[in-house]
Amino acid sequence: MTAGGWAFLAASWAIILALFFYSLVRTLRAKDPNGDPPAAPPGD
Amino acid sequence: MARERWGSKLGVIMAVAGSAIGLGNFLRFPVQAAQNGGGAFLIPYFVALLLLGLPLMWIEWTLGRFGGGFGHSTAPGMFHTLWNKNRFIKYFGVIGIFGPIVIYIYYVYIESWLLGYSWFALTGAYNDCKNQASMAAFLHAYQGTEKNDYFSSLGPAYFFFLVTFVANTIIVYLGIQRGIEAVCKYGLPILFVLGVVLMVRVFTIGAPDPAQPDWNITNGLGFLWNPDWSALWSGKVWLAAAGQIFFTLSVGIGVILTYASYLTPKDDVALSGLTAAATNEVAEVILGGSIVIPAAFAFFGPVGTADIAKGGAFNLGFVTMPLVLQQFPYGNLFGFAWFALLFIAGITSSISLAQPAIAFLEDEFGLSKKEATLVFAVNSFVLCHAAILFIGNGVLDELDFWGGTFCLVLFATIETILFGWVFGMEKAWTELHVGSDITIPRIYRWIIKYATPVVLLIILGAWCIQEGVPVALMRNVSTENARYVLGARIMLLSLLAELVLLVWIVWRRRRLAEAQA
Repeated sequence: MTAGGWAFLAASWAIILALFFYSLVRTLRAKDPNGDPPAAPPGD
Repeated sequence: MARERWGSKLGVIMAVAGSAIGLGNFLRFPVQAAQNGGGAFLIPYFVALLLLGLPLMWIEWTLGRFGGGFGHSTAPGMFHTLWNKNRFIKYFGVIGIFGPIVIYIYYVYIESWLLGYSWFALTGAYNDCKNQASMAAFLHAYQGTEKNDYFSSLGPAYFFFLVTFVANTIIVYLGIQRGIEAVCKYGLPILFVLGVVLMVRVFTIGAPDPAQPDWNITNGLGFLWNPDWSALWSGKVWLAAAGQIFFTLSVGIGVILTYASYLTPKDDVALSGLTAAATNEVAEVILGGSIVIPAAFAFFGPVGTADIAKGGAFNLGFVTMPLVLQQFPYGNLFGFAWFALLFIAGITSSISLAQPAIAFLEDEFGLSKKEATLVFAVNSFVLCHAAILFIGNGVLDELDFWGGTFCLVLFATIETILFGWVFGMEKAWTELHVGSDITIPRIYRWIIKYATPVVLLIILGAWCIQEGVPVALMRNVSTENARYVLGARIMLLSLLAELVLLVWIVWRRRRLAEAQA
């Protein structure tokens, strides 16, 4: 594998793993906003 | 009747990720990357993710939650709610039910092969196949396109189809929380564990043939990742990257709209959409890019792998991979892990394809879950036979083009224009951030309103010219297959007409009820 190949592999993995762990950690830390039961659908 | 809801935030993210992670992540992506510039393919791929994938994810999550607040789980009702002054927009929403049904018709059958092959791997049924030709003969006999010593009838394939079809039906019948969410919450972690096990095994192959020391994993990774910069000047490569993002994220189908409709009005959609997309990318680029192509390269070399890649995704998954995995100690167990991984990826996608039609019958016709599931199961069971019986006659390709390609782009274009221009970017942006756990960069206001629709219109135009015209005129269909393809086309048009009629009936009933009230 060429240096360019390694660079693309490393950069792609780094971007995706960073995005994945960032979004997962933020999701797990977020509070449940639904303190009260869902509102009845208004209909149309 | 109370509206169904997701049990947890992680549950809905896993369900959407499960819908997105399918066979394409492990079979289509590596082939597309290897054939379209290697590492350089990742540049248009990430551009497409930013301009197309993430915006469409957010649009569908937001529209779905918004429509769910009005009691609609499918696109006809959602589109009508967004633009109720337009009498016809609900009929465009029919594509969001039609597309998933069409994909479901053939996807469940392909998924059943994976269940069958999981069994064959465990029992060593294909152990006698020692080369590409014999493994291909095994597959063709299983599919019923030829008779040989391996299989003399479609019986085994039909048995595994029945098991898979019943499993799908039971899961969707159990509902959002007890069925879909439960399957995805257990299935997705298992899928990732199996993927990592296979990736580690592939990475430790080394150079299996001492006579060919260059046929090793490092060069196998190079086959996929070494950049060919000239590819960046090819419009075809950019279109391939955009197409891959479409297929991989399950956007433009209608299933995310339906899944998001079961959120409560205060649930986050911005972070959830991002998390689901990121989970899919891990499965695609990291796991999908590390298994099939490097493994095939180590055993078949650069020329062999190029030929295999040209043979398409099925060839790679059902012919090459079983041959490669047989070479390992405990090869049958690794073969089982491979097909079980793909089966889990398949079933978490197929249940999402079934849900829009079932939700439409429940919401708009007031059917119970049992009645809606039964109506869907009976109809889809009959339609599946087109894919099962006429697979060798071009029917599967025909269904895949209309359901899995054309409808996706058309539907995505319609919903993007509705979201950014009809609903209005101000309202859309506010709605997207209701209950949001993150703030999306403001540049996305511009991207969603201008860039995404323009990119979609370019893709739609290019595909219509490149593929749409030849397919519509059946230029690539042989004379003996023409009647089967025409039959499939009539079947699809009938299904579309039936769905349009159902939408017309629902709204007519509503108008009459309002007039009486």
